[in-house]
Amino acid sequence: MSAAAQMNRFLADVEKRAFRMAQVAVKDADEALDIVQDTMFTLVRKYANKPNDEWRPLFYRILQNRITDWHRRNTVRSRVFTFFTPTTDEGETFDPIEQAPDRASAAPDIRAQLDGAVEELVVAVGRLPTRQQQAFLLRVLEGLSVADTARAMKCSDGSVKTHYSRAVHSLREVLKEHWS
Amino acid sequence: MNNETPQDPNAAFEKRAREVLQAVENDVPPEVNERLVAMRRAAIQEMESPTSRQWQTRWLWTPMAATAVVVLSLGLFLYSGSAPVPMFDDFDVAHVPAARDMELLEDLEFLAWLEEEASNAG
Repeated sequence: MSAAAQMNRFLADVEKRAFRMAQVAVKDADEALDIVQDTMFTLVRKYANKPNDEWRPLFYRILQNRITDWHRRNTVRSRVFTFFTPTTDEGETFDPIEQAPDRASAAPDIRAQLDGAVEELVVAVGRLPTRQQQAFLLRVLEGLSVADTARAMKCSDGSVKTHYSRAVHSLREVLKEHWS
Repeated sequence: MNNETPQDPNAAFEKRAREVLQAVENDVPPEVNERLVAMRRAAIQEMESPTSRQWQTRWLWTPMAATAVVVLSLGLFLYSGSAPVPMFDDFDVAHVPAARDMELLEDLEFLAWLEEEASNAG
């Protein structure tokens, strides 16, 4: 099998999970697709010559970097936007982020397909701190080992275990009513 | 997970969460799936194409870098403050720059030809 065929098979295997991970993280399908596309092209351009068994952690490292970049850009954008936003008559600053609809609950393509408990899980995972969310999704959805998760997240095995443990604890707390 | 045991209080939760998330993964809307397939094909096409951007960049940069090195070296040599001391009084130094210029022109012509060949191939 040619290298291109192997890469095609690998990308076909991970693309949907990568999309869901990005979508949970950024809560927008179009943004998630852009992130996955960028991840695919970066892997192909820079790391296609690496051994196949390194593709998976590399792919998820690129994906997580892109998601982190997206969050950084959005944070800066919202700060700049808030800085130039006029105050209201009552002297309070109008915060467009606060006024915007809760995007965690506004993913219609997910919501329409899932029952209440499932939706709760998706929303709860989306509300986890970024590192906990990454550790949880890479371990549970992608099934990466602790070592590969650590490579994808650029941290130690111990950090992965800590983030993952905290994520599971938080999710069980939040979902206990639905998942008991 | 490899470290799960039946006694692990988190094991049941993790198992259910995995099943749910896998169901979510499989329920990707058709239009999203089509876009994912298109992205993948484009990425693979770029990998398979001999005229991919990476190769074009390499072929363009190699002659450009070689030309730059030659021009820079020559410039440094010709315009350095200390002129080389002739070893023989009767040596005709007037011919040396001319011969060197011819070589430089030939080198530049060759590099320009190489670049043209590369761009034609691309």
